[in-house]
Amino acid sequence: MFRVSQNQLYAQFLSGMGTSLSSLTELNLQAQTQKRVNKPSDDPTATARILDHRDTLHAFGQFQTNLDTAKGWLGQSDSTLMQVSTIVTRAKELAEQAATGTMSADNRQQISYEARQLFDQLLELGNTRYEGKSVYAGQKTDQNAFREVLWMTTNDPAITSQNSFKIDGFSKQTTLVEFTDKAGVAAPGALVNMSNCNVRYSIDGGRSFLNDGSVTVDPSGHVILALPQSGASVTFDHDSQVKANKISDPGDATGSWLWLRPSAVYQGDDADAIKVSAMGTGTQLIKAQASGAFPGNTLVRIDSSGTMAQPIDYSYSLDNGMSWVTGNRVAADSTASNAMLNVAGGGVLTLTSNGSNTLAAGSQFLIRPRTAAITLQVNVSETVQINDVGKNIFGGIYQDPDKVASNGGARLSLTSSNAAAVFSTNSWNFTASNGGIVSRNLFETMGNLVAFLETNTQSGVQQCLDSLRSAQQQVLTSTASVGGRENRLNITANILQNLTLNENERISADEDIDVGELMTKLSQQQVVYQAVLKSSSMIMQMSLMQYL
Amino acid sequence: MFGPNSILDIGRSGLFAAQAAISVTGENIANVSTEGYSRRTVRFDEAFNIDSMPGQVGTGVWAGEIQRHFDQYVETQYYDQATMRDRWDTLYSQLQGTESLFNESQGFGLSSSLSGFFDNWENLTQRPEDAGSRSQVIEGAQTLVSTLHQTDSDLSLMQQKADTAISQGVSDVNDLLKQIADLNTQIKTHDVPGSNNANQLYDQRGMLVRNLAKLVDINYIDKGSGNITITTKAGQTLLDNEQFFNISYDGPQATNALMAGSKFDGAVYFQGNDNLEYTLEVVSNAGTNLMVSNTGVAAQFRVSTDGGNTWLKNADGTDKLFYARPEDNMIQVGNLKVWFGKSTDEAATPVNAFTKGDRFNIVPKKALYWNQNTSTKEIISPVTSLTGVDNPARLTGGSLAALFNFKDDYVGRYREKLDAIATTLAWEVNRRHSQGVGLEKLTDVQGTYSVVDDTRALASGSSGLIYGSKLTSGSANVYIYNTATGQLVSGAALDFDSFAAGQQNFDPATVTLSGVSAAFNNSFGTFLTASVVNHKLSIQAKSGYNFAFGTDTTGVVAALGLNTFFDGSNCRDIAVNTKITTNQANLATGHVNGGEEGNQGDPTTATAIAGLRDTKVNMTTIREGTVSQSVVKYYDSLVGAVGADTARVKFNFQYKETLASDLNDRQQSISGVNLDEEMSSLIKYQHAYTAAAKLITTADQMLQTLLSMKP
Repeated sequence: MFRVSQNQLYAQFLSGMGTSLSSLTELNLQAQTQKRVNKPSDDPTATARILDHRDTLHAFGQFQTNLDTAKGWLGQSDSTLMQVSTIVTRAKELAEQAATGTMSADNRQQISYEARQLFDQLLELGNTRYEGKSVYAGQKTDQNAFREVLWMTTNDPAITSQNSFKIDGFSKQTTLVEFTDKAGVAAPGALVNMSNCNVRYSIDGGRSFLNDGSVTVDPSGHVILALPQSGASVTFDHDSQVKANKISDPGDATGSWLWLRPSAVYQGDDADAIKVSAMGTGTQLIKAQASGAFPGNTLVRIDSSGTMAQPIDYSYSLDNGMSWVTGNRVAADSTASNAMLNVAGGGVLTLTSNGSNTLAAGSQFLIRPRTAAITLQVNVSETVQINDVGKNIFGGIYQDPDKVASNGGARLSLTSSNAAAVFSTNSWNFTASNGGIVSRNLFETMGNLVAFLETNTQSGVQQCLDSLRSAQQQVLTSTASVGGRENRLNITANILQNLTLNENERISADEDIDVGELMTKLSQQQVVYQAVLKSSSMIMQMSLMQYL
Repeated sequence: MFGPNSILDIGRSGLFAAQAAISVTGENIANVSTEGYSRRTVRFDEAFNIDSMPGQVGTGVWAGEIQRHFDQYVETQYYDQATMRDRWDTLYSQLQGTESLFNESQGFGLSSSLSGFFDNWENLTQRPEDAGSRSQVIEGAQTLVSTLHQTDSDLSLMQQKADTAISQGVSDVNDLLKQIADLNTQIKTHDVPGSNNANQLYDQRGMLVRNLAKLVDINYIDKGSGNITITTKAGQTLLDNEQFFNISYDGPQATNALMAGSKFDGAVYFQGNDNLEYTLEVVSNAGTNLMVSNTGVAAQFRVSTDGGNTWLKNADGTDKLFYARPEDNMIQVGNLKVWFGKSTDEAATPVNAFTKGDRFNIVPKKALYWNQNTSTKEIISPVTSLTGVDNPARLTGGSLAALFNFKDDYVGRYREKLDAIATTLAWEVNRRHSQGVGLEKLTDVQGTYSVVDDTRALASGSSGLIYGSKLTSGSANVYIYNTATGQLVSGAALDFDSFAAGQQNFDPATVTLSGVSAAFNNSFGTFLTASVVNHKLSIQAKSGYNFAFGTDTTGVVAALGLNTFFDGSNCRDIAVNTKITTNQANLATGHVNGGEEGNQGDPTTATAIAGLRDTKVNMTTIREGTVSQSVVKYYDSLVGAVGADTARVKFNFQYKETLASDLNDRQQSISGVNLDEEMSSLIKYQHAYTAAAKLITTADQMLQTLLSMKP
């Protein structure tokens, strides 16, 4: 027989009521929040999973906004390039018209006005901005991609190959420049030093020539052509020989002619070269070069000392030295005079001797590619480039950044020795026979077209037509690249949507309650609570004293 | 001899007996709800019999003894279960409070701050130059920082409350011991077993011992005749009859535990505090004297945080060894700075050598001590080994053990992990940010991390540089620009040794802060001036120039706090660098590319920092070593751990609760009062009283009859 004391009874009642009431409250909380997990101790592993999924959802949301921004950029680029293509088609029509022999000088001048408008429009399109940032300037999004300048085309290749020029000033009209022998004795086409020449120029397309220009040599040997009424002056680096023109006939093409015509300088970023610098003992005696497609700054570290003929152990890092991929080895090669170290996913680092062929352990080589791409992450391991390098689409003139950076901090003025036309230098050298100025460079070609139309040079216009065909191909290729990226974005958007849906489902599976199950449990618990109350109150009321 | 007198006597004895029984029953009824009361019954003895005619005759009844119904065996078992139940109960209620700090179920908390932080950086990659996106990053970071501060200070507050509760508990224990000892004295005086049971005193003592078992785990030894000895389960005597001992809650201290025959004349000193106890053991350093010194030939010791069971290890599994240094070169061990000084003077260097195996115990926190007498005490603070096993030589039960567990093992561990998050986040973000370029180049920059001594190697344990252990060899690239034109003037890697030909790399084991300053001045002295101000590096560009940092393979730019995003290194002092909050343009998003430009549209650094969300980084804590996990996942697993701990403690509590209440029920069934039973006893004794009174009346009538016989 088990003895039950009063305290026992009441303790039991209290604990029974308390337990079922707290279960009821717990279920009530779940019904209120519609969640199964209301605090970490409800289900610790599920809690960690839920937080994880939430973070992934955040990341996906961010990818979605990145994708929308990317679509904006690429859409803008797409429509811009379509317009560019339309303009080039129109330019081709004008060139075809003007290339026929039935056109007169006045006709060509009328066409030239439209050509110049097309040039200006192309420049504006090249400087397209999205949200206030240049689309075609690489990473230099705060500047215009292109700037209009005066450049030069000449029919005497010797001038540009043996000398370099700088053009100061600006003009909206092509200036035609001819040299004549000061002494007056040289035959047309004979070579005369520039310093011994007079210069005559025309600002109305060759109809009339002005004689108030001058050729002077300054103390440092530069030859300066002053052309007062043209708005420009040309400075040559040193004296060189030019072909003299017929003094009496300006239209004679045996002498050296210069066309000062519009062109565009690309001011943006490029991704064309890779710089390598070395850190560590003895590295100043090693020459290092890199080639390939490095995604960003890459480091290569030599792990074993030895000469280039011995096996070389090295590591590389793709994140600025925070983590290294070790265990790479170049086999011994006693015949080679250099060592080629391969970086997976990047390219090749080539080391040659520059006074020593010994590599010390611990020396590091920093591979720094030029970067111009703005890439956004649109999915877990997917990025898309949203901008472009303008000069690779439109051409123009480009100043070498290495030369700019090694000028000790001073600005470097634009000359033909530190700048080059994109794709080739043919666009400056015009010869009457075919193939002179043909190139893919759109701005140079348009500039030449404007020059030849304004100066009534029929054979030049014909060659421009060929160039325009190549340039349009270049533009269409770029349009296709943009279009390809846009298509990829559409696919990625779908994938992202599905992934997001998946994550939401995963979270729900862990976190949310099943309403049906909850309601059943709730009513069950209610019954339990009622039963406890009833039985407790029944026992509580019974006592011997009622019967005494 | 029969007679009315003897019948009167018998009746009178019956009356007294019934009276006694009724009053004891009444006592039971009155005390039905009194806690700790054990019911009493009267034992009746038949009074002695007398040889007489017709045989032996009885003389009535005596109320022999008031017996107390109580089962000491069940009670002892109950102490064992109740002490564990109270331990888990206290722990559970404390942990519930902690759990609510980590409750992310509503979507607000540290997890969403962390996610938001990385979201903002990812957002910045779309528009690096946009002021709105930049200020969003800075504000998001400040929210994260303040959430870390808040969570850490809330946890710290909980530890302080536990601290107060421990002090209270300790004084309660001492109080109870004194009261029990007093009761023992009284019991000795009043208790005569068998005839004068000091039942109420026993009940009172039982109550006090139950209260004591709630606070500490006890071993209750009943030596009979009311003598008891109470010791802790680990063996320290708390009470022996009237003699009792104290426990105390004392501050941080360090003790020596030298090998026999060791002549070491010094002691270990420390700075800082931690929730773990450190045990240092001198290991032999072959070929050298085992001395305390500043040089490389000093003695070395290894460190344990669980009393010598396991030792701290390096990443490759060998024991981590530290040098024994004097005060001016104190070395960082875990969260403390440790040095050895003379026993009497902490600044003097001990002259005698160690003996291999000498141990030193550092308790860098307040701990529980059992005071044997005024000069000898023994530490009994609960300690859980890194494998989760309670140390049986220490306190293991009661709410005091729970409060210590809570303070040191649970909250201490959570705070350590939060600190690991703050430290690692600050380092990894800074490491990437310091190699980047903002919208404007820098004209002056102040380092935010300082050293203790400008002439100590930066990676050594005594330089005081918090991130000194992260430095590797290599160099840092700096690029100088002409302010007016924006073009590059000079760009190169720092040369750390201007005497040797060519550029020399940074060696963390030898280069000091002054050396770094000299490297800047030697490499770029024409364009900038570097100086050490207040043990921090400061760089000023000369007029007309500004500069930017490039690839840094050493980590020294981030470790010194130049061009960094975060300031500080733990939950309490992490903050966004004021250079960035005062000028958004200093938030680095781009980098100096191969064309020597830092362009505004370049999102390289922002992308790298946003990528930290998924990058595995090393998070180091003493308790769990180094794990490689992303910051977000590490925090998520911390929340999971809090939940798991709480759930486990709840389960233990419920389990022990069942056991304890079962034993309590058994005790109650023996010693508890049942009113129905008492009521029927009352009726029974009432009848007995009535019957005895009737007997007296009968005897009286007999006497009356007798007396009325004579005419």
